[in-house]
Amino acid sequence: CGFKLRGQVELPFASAYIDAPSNSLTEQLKRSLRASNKTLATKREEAEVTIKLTNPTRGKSILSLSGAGRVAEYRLEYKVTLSALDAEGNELLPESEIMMVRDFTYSDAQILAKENEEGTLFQNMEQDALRTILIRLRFAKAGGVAKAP
Amino acid sequence: CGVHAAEPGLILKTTKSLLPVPRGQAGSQEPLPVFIDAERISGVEDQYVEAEGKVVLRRRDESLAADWMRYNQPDDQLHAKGNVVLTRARTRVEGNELQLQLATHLGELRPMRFESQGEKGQYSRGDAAVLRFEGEDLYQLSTATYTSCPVGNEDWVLRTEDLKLDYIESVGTARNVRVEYLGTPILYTPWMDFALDDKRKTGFLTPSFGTSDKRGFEFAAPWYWNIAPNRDATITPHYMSKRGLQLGTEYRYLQRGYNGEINLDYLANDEVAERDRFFGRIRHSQQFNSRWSGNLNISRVSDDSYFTDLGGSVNQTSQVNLVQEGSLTYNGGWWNATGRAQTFQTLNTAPLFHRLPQITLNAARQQPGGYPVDVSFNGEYVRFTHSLNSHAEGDRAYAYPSVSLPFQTSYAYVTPKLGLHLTRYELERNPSGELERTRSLPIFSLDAGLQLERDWDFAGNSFIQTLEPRLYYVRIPYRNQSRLPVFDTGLRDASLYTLFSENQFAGIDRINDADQVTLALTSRFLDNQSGIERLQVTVGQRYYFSDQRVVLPGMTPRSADSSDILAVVSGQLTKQLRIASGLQYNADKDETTRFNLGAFYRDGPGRVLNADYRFTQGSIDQIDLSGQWPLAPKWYGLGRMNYSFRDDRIVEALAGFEYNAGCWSVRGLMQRLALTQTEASNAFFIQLELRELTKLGPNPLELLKRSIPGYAKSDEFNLP
Repeated sequence: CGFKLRGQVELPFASAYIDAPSNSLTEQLKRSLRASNKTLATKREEAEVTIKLTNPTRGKSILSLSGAGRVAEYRLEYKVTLSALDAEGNELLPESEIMMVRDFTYSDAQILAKENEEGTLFQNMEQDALRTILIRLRFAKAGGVAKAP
Repeated sequence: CGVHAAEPGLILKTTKSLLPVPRGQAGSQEPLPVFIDAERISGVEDQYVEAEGKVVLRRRDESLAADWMRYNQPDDQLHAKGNVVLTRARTRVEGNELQLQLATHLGELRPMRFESQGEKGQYSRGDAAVLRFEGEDLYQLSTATYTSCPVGNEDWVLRTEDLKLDYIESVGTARNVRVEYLGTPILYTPWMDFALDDKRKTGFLTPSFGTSDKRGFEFAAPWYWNIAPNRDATITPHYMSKRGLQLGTEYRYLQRGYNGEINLDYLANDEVAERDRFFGRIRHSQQFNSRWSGNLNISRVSDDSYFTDLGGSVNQTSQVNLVQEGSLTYNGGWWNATGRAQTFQTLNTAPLFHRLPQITLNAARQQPGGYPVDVSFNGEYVRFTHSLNSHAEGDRAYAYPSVSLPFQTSYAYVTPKLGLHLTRYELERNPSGELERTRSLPIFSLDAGLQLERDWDFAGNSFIQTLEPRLYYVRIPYRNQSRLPVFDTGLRDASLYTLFSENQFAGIDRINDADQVTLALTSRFLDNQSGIERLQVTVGQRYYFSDQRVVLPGMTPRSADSSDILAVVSGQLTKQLRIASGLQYNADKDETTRFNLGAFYRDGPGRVLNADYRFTQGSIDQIDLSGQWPLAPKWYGLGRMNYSFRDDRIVEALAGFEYNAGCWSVRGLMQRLALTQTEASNAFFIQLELRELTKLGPNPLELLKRSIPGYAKSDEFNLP
């Protein structure tokens, strides 16, 4: 049916500089880039691509209430803004927001257990965000080429 | 004004400034060339210049036009008559006669009219019998009016006897102020001051009026105090006819390294409850340096029914547990440690365990010393206390070191992981049994996945379709845990995310015995140009090779040899339409355990429709519809209906309108909210916003933003 194993063509650059606050998402991104044999530069000028991750935010809002007015479900949100530039500062990937959402049932009586669950859901969203970031980065070059006159 | 020249706040004076007059020699600035254009110009050097007929005096972006003009050099006096028009930047001032000493900037213009257009299209105009120039950037207007309505429209007008505008300090002061709305005086104040800065004005925010059955007639007039660029406060007197006068205060601060917020709402002598009532909260977070950070989050209310009596929003009325906690974290790069103390105030519910203290240590290293393994460590020590003797109390500690061996290629990965989970309980009290116990559990898992892709064209669009099968195997031996207490542990929601966790329990008081495999398949449709995900479909299920033995108290062990089937479909189908749906289905019983289907339509601001149906067996069965939509020119409808079929009642309903007349808008809202199983609150709010005069307070805007996802204030996208 036309499916093929994903080839090695993947990320269209050899070295990257990561412009992002130090957090677990950044660490995981670095690890993934190293795993796909990319050089991580310590300076912007030394890298083919600068990957910018800004405004990582975690949100939590009431999704549904029980008939008794208590919280029945929460919605968790994880957002981060991604963009990529080449060494000359040209935009390879325009700024775009990556947003992950998880809904989970809630019970006031189980606040501690639900706090544990919330923690693992945020970790899980981070992993999902990382996966999406890696997919977008594959198009970092394509977008730039398409834009060039 | 040289003293202030360095202060960045003064950048603000460009937009609303009335100052139109060229001021080459006046200040310390170097003289700029002045151009005069007129039908007739005459004069004597060093004495005077006189011009007549369409006189225009121009310098850079400033100009002064009049029928006649004369400048006397010895006394530095400029005199202009007939159709005097001063323009500068976006402000235009007109009058009949101008007298001005250029160097001192003293003089007057009478009678005058002005019009101003802000950078973002904010329009304002007004007039005065006399405009006095009182020095550089200082003005005084007598018998003045002010409005943001266009010429010919007098829907609202502010009238003042005396208005002082100080563009050095960016402050305006008015005396004997009357605001007329549709010809009717609605506000009088003997004195008011306001900032001339567009951003954050000290002053009253738009008051809101309302009625509710719990509080009676309500009136709140928040006062905003812009203390400094990084500090502000909002003080809200809130009158409730049934209960009395509540004073709400909010103080916020933001500094490099720390930020926080302090709230205190106080109602002295509630006439219904016959007592003083308060709500207080402190939130503070601090980054001491790159390693150390700390957080404080403390909230408390005077009594159990504070929120149901006085809370206006769901965020408040739904609260039954108020946390008091402080934590300190050390981030060591590949490891971090946190110490935390946490207690709760519970409202009308059973008390909770306090964690005094909780200390956690987490570490992870990839390929330490060049070995192809990842090692990680999670550990925690907690002292749990509880105010009831029917609950356990004591110390719990655990350590969970693990090693994983990841193999990865561009199209596949396999990660075997082996860990040892060690837990120690030392309790003073345990109604369910043991006081001391050590539990050790080896945990093995294997995570493997494959990435397949193909190009796929559909309806003229090119996609990359992925196919991502994933397998997750877990093996954990059985240990009897029935006599251990349950401090912080519960059953996780079954979801496609939790199917890939070792333990189906959140918390470590129970660790499941496992010999199980999860299989899942994800397919994504990615835009061929941008990589943006248009649609994602995932299906997964877990298969058990042994019976379940570890359970929580009161829970029956599962009998089936497979989990429910889980599926998720989500995506941004078109630019306007996003869908999200999830299904949890029990194939053995042919029953739906959980289901949700949502569609979210956004056709630009002000055109928003949301529909969401949610079902969880035994607890949730509700529909949530909300939207904002233009009904007619200037009219927007607002609504939300959250209805619970299970309880056969409205959880939250909101109906309202927004009328945007351009220079003013009015917003009316009716809200019904379930407070407890039998009680509900009904409230009505109305709010009048006079553009460029009033700034909105939190109510009812926060309510709208929370209730109608995507809501935008009509004037934010609808400037005249």
